[in-house]
Amino acid sequence: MSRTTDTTWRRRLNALTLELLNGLSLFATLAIVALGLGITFGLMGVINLAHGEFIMVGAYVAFVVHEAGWSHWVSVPLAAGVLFVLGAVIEVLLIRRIYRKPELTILATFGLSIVLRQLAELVFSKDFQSAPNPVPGATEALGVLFPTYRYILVAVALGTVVMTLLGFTRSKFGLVVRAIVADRDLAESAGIRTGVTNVLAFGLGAASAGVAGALVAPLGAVEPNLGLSYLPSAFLVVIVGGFSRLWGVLVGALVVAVVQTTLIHYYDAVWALIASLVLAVVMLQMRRSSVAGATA
Amino acid sequence: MRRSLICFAPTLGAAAIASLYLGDFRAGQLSLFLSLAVLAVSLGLVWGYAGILSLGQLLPFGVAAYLTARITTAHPSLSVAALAASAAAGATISAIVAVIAFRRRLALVVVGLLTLMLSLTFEQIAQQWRDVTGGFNGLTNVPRLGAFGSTLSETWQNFTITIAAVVIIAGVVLLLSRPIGAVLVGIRDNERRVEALGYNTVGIKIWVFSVGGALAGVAGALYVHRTGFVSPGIFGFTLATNVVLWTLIGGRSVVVGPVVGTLLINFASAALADVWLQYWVLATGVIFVAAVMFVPDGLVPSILRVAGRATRRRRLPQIRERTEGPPAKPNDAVMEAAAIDKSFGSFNALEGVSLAIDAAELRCLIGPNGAGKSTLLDILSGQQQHQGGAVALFGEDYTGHPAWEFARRGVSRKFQAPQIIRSLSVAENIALAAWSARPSPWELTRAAWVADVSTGALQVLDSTGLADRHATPAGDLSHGEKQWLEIAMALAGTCRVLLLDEPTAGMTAAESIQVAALLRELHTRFSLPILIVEHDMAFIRAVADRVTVLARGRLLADGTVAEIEANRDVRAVYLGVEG
Repeated sequence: MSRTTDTTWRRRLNALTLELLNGLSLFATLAIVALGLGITFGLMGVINLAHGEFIMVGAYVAFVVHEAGWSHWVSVPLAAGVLFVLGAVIEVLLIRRIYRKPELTILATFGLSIVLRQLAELVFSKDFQSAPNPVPGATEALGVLFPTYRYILVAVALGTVVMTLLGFTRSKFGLVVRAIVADRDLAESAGIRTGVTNVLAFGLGAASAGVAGALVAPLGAVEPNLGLSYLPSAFLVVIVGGFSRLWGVLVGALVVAVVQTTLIHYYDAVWALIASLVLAVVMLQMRRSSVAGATA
Repeated sequence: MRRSLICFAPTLGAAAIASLYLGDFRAGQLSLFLSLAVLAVSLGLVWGYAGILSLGQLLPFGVAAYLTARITTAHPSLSVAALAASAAAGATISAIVAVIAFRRRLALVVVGLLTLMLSLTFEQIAQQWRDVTGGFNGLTNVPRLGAFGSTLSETWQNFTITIAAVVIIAGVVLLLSRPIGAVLVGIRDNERRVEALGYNTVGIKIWVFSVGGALAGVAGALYVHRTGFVSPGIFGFTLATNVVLWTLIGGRSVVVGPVVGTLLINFASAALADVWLQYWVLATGVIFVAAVMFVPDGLVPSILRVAGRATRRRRLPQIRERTEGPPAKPNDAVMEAAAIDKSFGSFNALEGVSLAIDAAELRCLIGPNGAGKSTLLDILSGQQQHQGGAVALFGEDYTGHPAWEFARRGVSRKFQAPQIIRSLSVAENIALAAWSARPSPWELTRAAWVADVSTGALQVLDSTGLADRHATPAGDLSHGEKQWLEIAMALAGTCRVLLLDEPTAGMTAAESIQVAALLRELHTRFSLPILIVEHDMAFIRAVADRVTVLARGRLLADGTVAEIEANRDVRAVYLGVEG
């Protein structure tokens, strides 16, 4: 009698632990996926619809690194570097010319997303490629087995997010960027070179997408449409977390992860999606001033 | 009306002939692309006219396609009912989105983001809700259009869809040639001005978004009959980008723009896809970016501009004088603000300010910069909410009411920097102000292209020469003329009290004197109460019955011009001398 109760409880506890770990891993993935969107929108007022494609390019970097026979871990910094350069180039060629028209930045990045997806298709074909998991197998901790790679993903993703956010909130560069957000004209007349700062901010947003892409590459197939599957959740995180504060990315990722994990556990993925949508809508209705203020 | 018929009949005839003589393959392409053109026109309506960039126009389109597929696979002869249900479903879902987006006045880019996200989430829901949507494979074997127990042949379905699409698009053209078209352009160019004329702009935006949803719904129903299947990709990113591309390329500010864009890109795709598929999609991406950078207005408006034609038909509204009864018996309490508190963060703009305007006065409100004059005017016209105190109009409490309700009650406002609708003509600006007397969107779609304007507004137009410039786009007027136009707009509708914020700013001394004379005349002739924020003492001496002085958010003094000029406190705040 007591023995059966004991195992039942243990099984329940283990199931709960597993769900918590799943939730944690989702949280970390959402945070790193949404970080770049949060940076470019929160700091520059630019909605980058090509963000998913930046993630996709990051995943292809991981694939190329694997093909070249290098360690997967090379791909994380390499993807960050490649995407930083790509982001900076795009800022100079496109975004810079249309900053003051938010509508046009949406449209330009919309078109850019087609270009990047199609270039990936031309170079790598539509086929599903893979960047194999560098640490297959699972680690036993807290009484449950959980994929080792996902532990590492959580650590690297959250580490990157927190470091980036600290960089923006604590450094002089962060202060300069926030000055520009508050009042671009005033910042310019105070001698801040908004051009350089924007290149850096957009580049960093892209670099974070590169990190995200390299990290998620081993979790599934690497293909030109990879970014599209991450884009809705990334938007969701940014909307739930709020546009004006960078730390909102972490809050948003946490809330979305909790809601989705819980609902997938008790109901199914459809209800999880519907609940996420409702959540985003409720957040938009509640937070009028900060939303309007973000692009005022 | 006759001119649009002259354009419409040959277009319809050409479409009918093309559909019947091109052969099933080409005619099939034509009907498919025209059903997509209806979708693009729905985007043109909300984006090009009302200025709302919706990236999720696929939401009503896709929901309607799934709905039609479910209804007609079960009951093939219920196509017409399915079409009606699709329009209703499209309108409903868009209305819900619009309420979420506009009631809280979300920023435009956030609305774009929200609509796209909703559409992409629906794609995932469609993939996973297999019982209803058929999952990844979607719903197949959707029958052709049918009624009375039989379905149309392919040829006749192509014909029917082609004709239906042309008729629907013509309907949109007709709709937008009514006053509602000008109101939507007004909201796009300057929502604040339109709201201050007495239009419930949020309500009108929800309305137009719903109409766009109904159109997209009809497009979805036609589309699914034509293709015979629907899959989750109908909500997807690729189609979402394409619809925006067609609308952008063709030019969203004219109804035919999206149609031209859709047909152009799709026929080009169809012709090039076999040879050149991957490069063609890449090319569409490049075209997209290039269009945003170099031709953001789109092809049709750009071509019209190069050809020297106006993008909007400049059929001028007929301006008539409104016959008014004798001025209403002056009511003592016209407008009353009691103990108004307003703060922005920690800055107190107004503290306990009370002000009452009665019928027979022309009052000036003066004070140093930052005294809170414009803020007070904003509160008296409902433009800004305030933390404490109450506002009453003609004895009724209006505290917390939106600006358009103030305007409908007769509070007319002229802003400090002239606020006019740049892309509308002078006559249309005036008509817009006059039409605010019947501001429901449905009435505005039926109203004639005729405006009954108050005598006072006509007098302003006559005395300033604007009456001879009815056709000039308001954006091309000089600064002074814009000021006059805005004053005329403020008077044109129901004006029972006039609030003016620095009406002479940027005018020459001679023009200021002209304004003063005109305001005095309006005041005496129509018993119109007027409140003016001004700095120019010469002007104030010429017009004011009474002067109220604000300083640092508080009421400092109140009296005749002579009393105020002799007041030591007033001299102190203006000249910075103590006592």
